[in-house]
Amino acid sequence: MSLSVVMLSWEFPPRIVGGLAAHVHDLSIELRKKGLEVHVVTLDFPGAPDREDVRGVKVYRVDSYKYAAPDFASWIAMMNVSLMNYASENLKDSVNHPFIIHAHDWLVAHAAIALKHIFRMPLIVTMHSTEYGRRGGIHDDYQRMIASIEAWLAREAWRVITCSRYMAEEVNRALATPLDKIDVIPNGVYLENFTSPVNPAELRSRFAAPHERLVLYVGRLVYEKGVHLLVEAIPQILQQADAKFVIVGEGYLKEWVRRRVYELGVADKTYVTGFLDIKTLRSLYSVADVFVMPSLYEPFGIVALEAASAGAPIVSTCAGGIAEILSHMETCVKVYPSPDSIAWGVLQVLHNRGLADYIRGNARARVENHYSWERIADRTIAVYEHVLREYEAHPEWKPRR
Amino acid sequence: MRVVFLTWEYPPRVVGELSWLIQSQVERLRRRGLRIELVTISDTGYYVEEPAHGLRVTRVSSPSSPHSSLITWIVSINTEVARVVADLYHSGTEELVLHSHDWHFAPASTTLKRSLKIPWLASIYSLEQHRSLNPNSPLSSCIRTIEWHMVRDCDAVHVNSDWMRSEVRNILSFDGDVRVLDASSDIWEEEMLKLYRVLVRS
Repeated sequence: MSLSVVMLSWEFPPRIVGGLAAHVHDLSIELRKKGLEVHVVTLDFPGAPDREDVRGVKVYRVDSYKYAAPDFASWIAMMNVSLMNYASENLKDSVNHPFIIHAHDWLVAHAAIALKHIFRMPLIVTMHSTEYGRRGGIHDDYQRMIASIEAWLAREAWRVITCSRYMAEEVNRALATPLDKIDVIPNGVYLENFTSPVNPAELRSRFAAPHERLVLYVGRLVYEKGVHLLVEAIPQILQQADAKFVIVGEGYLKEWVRRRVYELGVADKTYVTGFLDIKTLRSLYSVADVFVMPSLYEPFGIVALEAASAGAPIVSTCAGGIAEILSHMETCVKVYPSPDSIAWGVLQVLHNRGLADYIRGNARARVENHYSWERIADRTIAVYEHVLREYEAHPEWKPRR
Repeated sequence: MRVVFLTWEYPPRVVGELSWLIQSQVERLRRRGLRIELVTISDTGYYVEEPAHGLRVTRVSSPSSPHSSLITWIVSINTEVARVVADLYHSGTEELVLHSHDWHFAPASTTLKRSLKIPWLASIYSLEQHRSLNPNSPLSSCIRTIEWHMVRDCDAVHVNSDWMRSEVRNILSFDGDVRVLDASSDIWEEEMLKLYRVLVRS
């Protein structure tokens, strides 16, 4: 009998709020390729069908506005009611027993916990981030409520999955989840999405002149991503290299970045693009001479995998989870989170082709060997099988019939 | 057969009249030999007691706190209620009937009915429209939609008077069956037991 899993996620393409949608989508498809029966229960989206077969993955979209709700947290609560009501009716007979319930983040906590007890099936939870980490601490009762729901969800989970050891420690610290209950499985990447750029010469010419080296930043323009450190480093880099700084992404620092490059007199050497479509973005990595990742906080650091897949040499602060992917002078140039150090690192790569080729080759190999979705799916299945073996061996906690 | 009473108030947790009303119902049915599992809320932690023969009271608390609204609180407790009733269901072979009182545990009841096929009787003593000072506020609207789905999701709706029946029909635009059983009548216990038996058989 094949392994069955029911994914619970509040986002799944085309409903995309953050990084969860892509993660759940790619993981589900890869698990399906490995022969698992995969069901995804998620929320509705205008124009998306209530039920859909996505490359063998059965997707159910639940009406998330079935109940009126006075505010966001109440909406989340009532959306969970809709999820559990829908799943209890539609999954009972259509999913092979036993099955794994795999929940992603606190937004589906109530539904996941109720379904676990109603069906008496094992619950696995991926904590992609924590309220504590997202907010740099817990400062008010609203955040305390979310942290408390996260802790409850982690307590109910048979196993908790995090994407890095860094996140495992954060979950341990913030939610008091014992480390022996946490499995670290990194995020995956589809290398092939980044290895065949569409018309790279033409693309490059849209962002930089032929004589300019292309320095790329991709990420939300927010404090924890450290984009302000890169901006402050631009004048120093330009003293020793002719370069164009391409800054991709949106965020509350966008206007600050635009103003600051004028103040620094480097506006003509900086291109703040905003959001780019996925095809352009994927190709852009492969024409970059250096990719800069100046993050101050990073649960995992998926853009490191994307840049490495495309063969861009990486300069990074190696904050949080990145330190587990990249290492100094092997797969990246590691810098301190300061403009001086970032300028030094970027110039190292720009002035030393041998070094650039060496680190990008190593980084590419590392991603291929450790972070392909195929590898990640295998490691996820190993956790499922481990949990199911324990579940089968448990004499008491079984459904009545 | 065991009947699972779901109520957000039961002595000593007294919010309004409902608490005493349910206590007297429990007492009358228990004397007729009915076995009752009563699940209610405790504000001060989780505990189980058997105060009389045939009655077990399980008090559950929200596993998460604080809460930003009445809704986040009641949904957390609904999740706990689902767990407690599911544990009852899975640990025995007896038939269960859910008997919810007002709207508070309608979400858990819908889930339990749909997944475990436990028949569900919903008693309504008052509606949000009657209780709320501002029935069109976002909070009251949320509760009204919970009531709206409750009368449609359950197997039988019960009220105490013809007046309440017409209120349920008008306010919740409900044209399904509403049973009127007046708790002050002498045959109330008999009729209630009959109703439970019909629900179990259906």
